[in-house]
Amino acid sequence: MKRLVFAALVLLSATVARADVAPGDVIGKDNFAKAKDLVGPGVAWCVDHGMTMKIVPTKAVEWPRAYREATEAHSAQVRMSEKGDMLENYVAGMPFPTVDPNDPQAATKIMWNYQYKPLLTDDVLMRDFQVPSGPLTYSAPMVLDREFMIGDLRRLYFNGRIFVDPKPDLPNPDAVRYKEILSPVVAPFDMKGVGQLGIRYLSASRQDDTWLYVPAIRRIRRMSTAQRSDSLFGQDTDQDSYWGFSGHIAWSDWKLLGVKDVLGVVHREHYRPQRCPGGADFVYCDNWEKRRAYVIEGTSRLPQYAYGKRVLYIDTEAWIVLASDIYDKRGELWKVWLEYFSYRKQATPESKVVYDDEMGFTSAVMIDTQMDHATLIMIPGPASPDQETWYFNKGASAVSPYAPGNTEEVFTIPHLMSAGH
Amino acid sequence: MEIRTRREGATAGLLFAVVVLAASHTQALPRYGPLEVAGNVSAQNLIRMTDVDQYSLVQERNTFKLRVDYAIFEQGKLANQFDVPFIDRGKLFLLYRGVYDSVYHITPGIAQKDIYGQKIPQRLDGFTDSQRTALAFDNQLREAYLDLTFKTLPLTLRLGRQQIVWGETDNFRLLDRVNALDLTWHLQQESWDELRQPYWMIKGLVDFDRVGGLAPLSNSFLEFYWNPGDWSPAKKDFLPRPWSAPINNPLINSQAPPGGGRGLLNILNTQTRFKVNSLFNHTVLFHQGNYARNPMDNSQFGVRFGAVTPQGVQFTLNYFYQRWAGGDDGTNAAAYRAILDTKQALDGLARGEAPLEAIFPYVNTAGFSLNYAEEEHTQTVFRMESIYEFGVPFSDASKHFPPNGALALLARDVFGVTTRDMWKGTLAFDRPTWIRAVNEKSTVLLLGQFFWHYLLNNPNILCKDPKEQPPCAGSGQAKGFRGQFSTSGISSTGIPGVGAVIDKVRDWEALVTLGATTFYRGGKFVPFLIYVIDPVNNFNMEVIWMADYFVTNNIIVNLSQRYFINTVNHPVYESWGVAGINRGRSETGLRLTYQF
Repeated sequence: MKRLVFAALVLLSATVARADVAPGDVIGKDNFAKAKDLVGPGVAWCVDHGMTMKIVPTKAVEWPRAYREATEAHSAQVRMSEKGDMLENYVAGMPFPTVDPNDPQAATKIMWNYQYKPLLTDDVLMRDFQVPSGPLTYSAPMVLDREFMIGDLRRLYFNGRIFVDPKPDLPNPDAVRYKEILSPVVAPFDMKGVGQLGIRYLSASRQDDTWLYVPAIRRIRRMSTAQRSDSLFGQDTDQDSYWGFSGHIAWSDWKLLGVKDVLGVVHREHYRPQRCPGGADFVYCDNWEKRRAYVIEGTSRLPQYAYGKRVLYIDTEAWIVLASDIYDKRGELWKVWLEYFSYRKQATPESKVVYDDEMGFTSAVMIDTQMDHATLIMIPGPASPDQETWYFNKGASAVSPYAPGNTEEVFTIPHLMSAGH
Repeated sequence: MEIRTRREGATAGLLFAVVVLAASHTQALPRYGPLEVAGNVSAQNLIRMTDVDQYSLVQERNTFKLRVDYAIFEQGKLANQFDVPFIDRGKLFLLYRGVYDSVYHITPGIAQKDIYGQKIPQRLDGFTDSQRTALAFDNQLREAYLDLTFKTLPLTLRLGRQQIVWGETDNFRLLDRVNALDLTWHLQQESWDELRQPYWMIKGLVDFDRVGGLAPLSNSFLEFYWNPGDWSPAKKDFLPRPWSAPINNPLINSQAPPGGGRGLLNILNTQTRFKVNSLFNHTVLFHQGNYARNPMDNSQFGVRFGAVTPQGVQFTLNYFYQRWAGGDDGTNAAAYRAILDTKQALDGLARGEAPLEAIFPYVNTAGFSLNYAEEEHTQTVFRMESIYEFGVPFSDASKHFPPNGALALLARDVFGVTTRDMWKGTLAFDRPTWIRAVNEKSTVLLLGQFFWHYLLNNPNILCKDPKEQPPCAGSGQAKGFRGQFSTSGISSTGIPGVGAVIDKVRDWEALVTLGATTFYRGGKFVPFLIYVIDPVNNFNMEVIWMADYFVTNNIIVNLSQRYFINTVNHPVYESWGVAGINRGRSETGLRLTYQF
């Protein structure tokens, strides 16, 4: 009898070990066992609260040709500074294309690769998008607390540039990595006109600079870096969580937990993200595929940091964050960030903008699992009039009603002031 | 007047209907792109808590705002069709605000006292119908300007009716002095965005980063403005209006003695052979000085240079040449002067003008502001601002009418003016702080400000009789400055010397503000706590709490309470607008807003 039980257990464990998903599967709470080894606690939490995942075949993500060439030309010379807080001899492309998981510095190198990922090299503009947030009941659609409608979100990189002249660096006396401007918030009325300018420096020894234009006080207000991990205007998102992680690499200690297959959204079907029906509308329902990912744990060195740690799932091919599990200081899961990428050469078949390479159009969600609250970043949202919404590496031609392009003059305090109403 | 106010009422009613209609079609309003339309309607009710058992409705204000942004020039084209030389982009901005405060028609009894502690028997229903209607309605094009960005020049222009805010301070002003305040709305207990008087102005901004920058500085710019005459001083009003200076009108006070004074103009009319009906040169107290509202007579100008140093310090250097607004920055300055030249005074009297002139002289102001985010040790943003003002006017007791002349009656109440320089400044900090016992999910933003005013060469107060001490009730004041609430008794009790007060103009004034705010439930609930204390004037203080609750993205409920706390029973003559001026004006407010 004992032998029979043992044999049954062995058989059962073998079945569990083979648990896997296949294209065509729709993973939900009922059949989650098939996917449990392929997701982190955050995605598991979402499935447990109503999210479904339609599994599709894995599809490759090609690097842009210019990025590939830059990597081949310059990566051999790149070194990390002694403290690991800066790259030395970096020109463009991926700094460490070959990472040995046994290298004691593997995690930090992976994070520098993520920082210099192929998707964001020169500049990007996201236009006319929506950021709704609200409480979760899991049984009925979200009733919005707040919905911010954003005019422009722009980022301009000052080094590692491969598409737009001047390359590889913009004139850079202040040693800037990138500048980012969100301006303006167009709705709701109490937030209308808010704008924010941020500067990330190459050296970790210089903290970010951030200024906020507040229409209610009619002027620019300087912000502390401590607010980068704080919820923005009370929503669930924080600046350091944008793109999965947007903090300075050198302000955290990184640990490589492993390399494994996970499920992620890299080839979203719907360009305009579709929220799941009913009480699961805190996430989008779209295509998930099996991806190879580095699992990296980051612990901030900054005092006043909101989170205890983050676990990032970084795609080994596209070098994007697929998902991020964020823990509080007690070590309990607090927030989940999910990216919904769609690699394609044009936003929609009707798009006028066609890229030579596939670009990663994305939308995201951030869920506060402790407060049962979520924020969706919908690029484009249902009300976005601009079909393209995303503009990669368009430089001066990334024009909108709010700014004349992704040029240096737009990423300044004077521009933030003159654009403020 | 009545026709005008009725028309205003009709306009407000029509706009209210439009907004209700618009609100029901909010999804159809253009949000993105060249044309944006947005706005809100709100109703604010304020209950004044004069004492523990005395409550009165003092405000029932309904406000409608409509904002239109229109990108008239884009990429060098007008309306996306016609090429325009020189101009790259241009945006038209309009903001309308319509107000109806029904308290002037409800006319509730409001128990009020003046700053001297005397009850004010006048009620709102003492105003005529047309006066009340005029007070109840307020229609303003708050802003109407065109932003222009030039193709080849590193210049942007803002042309039109606008507000300009410089500096680093919150709710008390130093460099924020371009637009004087309208203190009749709710004194200063409201967002200053609502209180500043917009003017027709030209503002320019030269962005040096567009032409290579000014290394090693970054984000460098030169900003300037010119107000070609459309300037008016800080608006103040008198009792019985709920949001007035806490005194009766010292010129035309109708309150009869002994409970009240008689008003200086009344005194002239009743006790001398002169008949007057206006101030000298037809000036108007708190409204109009001896100038025409044109570029030659009333221009204002200001310029500032700003940049960020390589060390991360953001700074501005500022200069203003503009008229003295009347002390809306907490300065105890003179609002009028006596016409001491006998011939001028008699000529004025012959024209029916009192020998008393409302004054708003030009003042030169130089200053700077700076801020720095210190991240390594304190994670705090430090802010600082300081100005030096040349020639601020003060009422000078040593400059008075001859005691034996025709105007001796005014010799103890109306004085000439002496100008002095002032140094003012603020030190402030903003620190986001995790206080997990208060909020586990978001930081608490702590804000602190310390303000100071220093008056250079402030003369000592002396009575005419050297044996007498201030308030010099017997002999009168011989020397020293007199603050805005000073009275010999004539204009307050009607009896010389009885109730005499010297509102001392101090060398140093100081104020401390502390604030805290945070977000709960994903920004659904936003509380704010503020504490203000004036350590110079008997530690009078103000405690405010308010909370915004977003019922939905469109509906906001705001609940607030303000407590004005005095530590002494006698009047406190302070000029910041804290509890001395607002004694007995603690209030509870409820505001409902629908935004679209």
